[in-house]
Amino acid sequence: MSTDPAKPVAYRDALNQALREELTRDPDVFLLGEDIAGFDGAFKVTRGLLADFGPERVVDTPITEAGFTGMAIGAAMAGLRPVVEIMTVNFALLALDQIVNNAAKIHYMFGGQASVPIVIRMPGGAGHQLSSQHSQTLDAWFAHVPGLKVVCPSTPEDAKGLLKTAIRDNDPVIFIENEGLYGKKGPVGGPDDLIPFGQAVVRRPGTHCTVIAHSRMVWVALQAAEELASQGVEVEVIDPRTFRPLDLDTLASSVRRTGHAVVVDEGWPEYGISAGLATLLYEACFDWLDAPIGRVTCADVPMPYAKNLEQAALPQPADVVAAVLANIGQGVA
Amino acid sequence: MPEMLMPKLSDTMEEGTVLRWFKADGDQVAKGEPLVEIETDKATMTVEAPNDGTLAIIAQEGDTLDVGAPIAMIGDGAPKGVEPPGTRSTGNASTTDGPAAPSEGTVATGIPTTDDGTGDTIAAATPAAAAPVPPPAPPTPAAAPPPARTAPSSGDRIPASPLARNIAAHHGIDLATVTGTGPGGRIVKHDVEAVVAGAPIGAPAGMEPPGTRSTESASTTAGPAAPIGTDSQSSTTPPLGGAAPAQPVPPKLPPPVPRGDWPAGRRTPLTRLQKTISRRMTDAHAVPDFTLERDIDTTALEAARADLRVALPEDQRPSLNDLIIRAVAMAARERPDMVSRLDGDDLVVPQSVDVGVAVSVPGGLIVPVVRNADQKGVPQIAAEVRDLARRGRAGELRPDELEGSAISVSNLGMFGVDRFHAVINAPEAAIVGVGRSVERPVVVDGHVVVREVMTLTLSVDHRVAYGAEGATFLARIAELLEHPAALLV
Repeated sequence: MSTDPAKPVAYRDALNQALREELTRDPDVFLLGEDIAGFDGAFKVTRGLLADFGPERVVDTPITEAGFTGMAIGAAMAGLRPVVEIMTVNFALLALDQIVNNAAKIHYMFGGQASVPIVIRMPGGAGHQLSSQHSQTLDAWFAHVPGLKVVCPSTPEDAKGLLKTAIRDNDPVIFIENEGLYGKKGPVGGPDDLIPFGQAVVRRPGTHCTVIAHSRMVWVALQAAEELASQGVEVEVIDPRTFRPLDLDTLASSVRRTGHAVVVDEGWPEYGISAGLATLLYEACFDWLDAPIGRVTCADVPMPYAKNLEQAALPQPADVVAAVLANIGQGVA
Repeated sequence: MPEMLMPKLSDTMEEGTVLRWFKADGDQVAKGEPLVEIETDKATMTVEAPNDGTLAIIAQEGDTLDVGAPIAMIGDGAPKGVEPPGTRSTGNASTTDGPAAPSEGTVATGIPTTDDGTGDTIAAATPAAAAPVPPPAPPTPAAAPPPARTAPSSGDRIPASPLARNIAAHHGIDLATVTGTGPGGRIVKHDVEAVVAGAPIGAPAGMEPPGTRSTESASTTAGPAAPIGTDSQSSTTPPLGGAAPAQPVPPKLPPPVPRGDWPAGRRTPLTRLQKTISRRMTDAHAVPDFTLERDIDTTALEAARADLRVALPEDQRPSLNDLIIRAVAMAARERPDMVSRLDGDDLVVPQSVDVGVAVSVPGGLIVPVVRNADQKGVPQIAAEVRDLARRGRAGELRPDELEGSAISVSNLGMFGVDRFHAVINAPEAAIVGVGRSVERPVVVDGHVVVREVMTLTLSVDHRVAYGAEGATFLARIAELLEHPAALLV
């Protein structure tokens, strides 16, 4: 239970701290998922929790995503606060009916008589040669659905603070981590430091172009920003952190200031996060735009297995640099 | 202020006619009182006011509107004479509350951003998910009053970024005078700022070094700033009205930054037809060909054509080109070697003499085919070519009408061209290029006389036929054309 705020903590351990603190704070909170108890979770986020909270509150389930997600929704309706771990977002497809048709709809369809205070945690992302079925970024699938809250933390601090907010929230929260971030270290807040939903954060201030990125792409964008700074171009990197609710004001006011925007998304380009954000920004900032909004996304292909192709398909800092330079009108020589 | 929409008063109603308003424009109305009489496809019905407020009528008596179209606004403080949607202009008169407040846009964005559908329990946790507020004023350019949009005076829309338009409108700059340096020649912020800063119009406005980019830079350099540096090149334009050392020096523009792969001109993608032509012409370039030229005395041919005008109905009267098609077809029937096509290491002789006729169409060129042209008389060829050309220009030809010709004829004589080297329509082996028929001095029996003369060129795939073969084939075509009665058998 040592949470020295000065000491850098890995993203996975920040999540662990949030779970541990909330399990301690609220007896209604319990965890369930595949291999989260005896095995500490596929990404070791739930390490040690079985020993400290026991098998009634840290529950191993069979490989039945639709089943245990549905069970958790029922428990949430009955007053508990389940935190579901789905091993990766790719397996959440098996539970989509429960998520979209039950979790997102019950409060609405029963006229507010029931709420579904559930958190569904899962990592998305690619980069480990897991090929096309296990390398997906499906943030947009959930962000598309009214009735869900969708959270995509990029730092240990956000992972902890947003997860605590999610657990205390009375609505279903889809909490999408990233496989490439679990080892990322940084400072974290204390037991009472909650980060509210719907507040974007400026990761790096700048004047020439607004770069919007979330989750692991924040780090790609920041790397690009360093490179651009060495060329005299200062980009403003903004992390929306949550897509439902979305802090459009912060994004739009930045874009109105810079006149240029590039959206970076690890997901596919068509009809996805980048497309949605670009549309919202066009609507909010049209008269301030000096160029069409740029997008840097995963290639529009199933993720290749081969390392070189996988890296080519994913957004890289150089792609962001090129997109920004093209956007502000400096051709890439 | 809520809109009152044309109600759907029956299952089959698609539109309704406003027969009578019971209240006048500007009257106060109360929810539930009879307000308007509407005629549907089945009956006339009275519709009640849906809420309290001041009535602003949109649909006048007698107007017929689709179900769902606004017929009135009912609310408080209704401005008189609300414009019906559709006639509303985008964002000048109606948006007085801020610089170009995105009125249409935020209507749509309001839905996803304000409501995540999870009910009132969210409210406390999501302070920022409020309705989009009117955008805060942007920094420099648009902090001014809402820019009046000047519609482009000419029909051509000038490509300019929305921001550039805003700045130009604010400074009263006509975009037609600004050189765009963005992709596709788009006018971007920098270009307008360069004009504001006094750069010579039309000069290539390069990018500033990024470190100096700011909205303010334009306005600071626009004023009577102190001369920048001592670089004499920055003041090459002598001040008007004699020596005036205090005259502000035009700011020196940094050199243009290379635009990478953006060509300076405007890009237009090829149409499908143009792509096909491009591919076929590239293929044709691989054909090793040679070209033969021969002058033909067309005096008799012109006379025969004049005679045929008397003999034939209008739609069968041949042009010179129709007569040449006939001659080429007759010659080709006798000379299968000239219509063979190369297929790997084989020569294939087609089963029929089908002649392609090059036809210019908008945005390209097509070659429709006269089938069995050697077996058709001149009137029929004339009628068919006329029909193919008309339908070709209208884009009505079927693909099979454009395929499989054995030899082609291309005629540019009507444009005054004397002779030209036509490109072989691969996989054909030969093509005849037709120049104009014109009076020229010709030596006949030791005397210079005036004759009608035309130059034919024959381009031949040298893999299929050789110089002598081509020459005798061209001679036979000439012989037929110089003895036009032969064409009529």
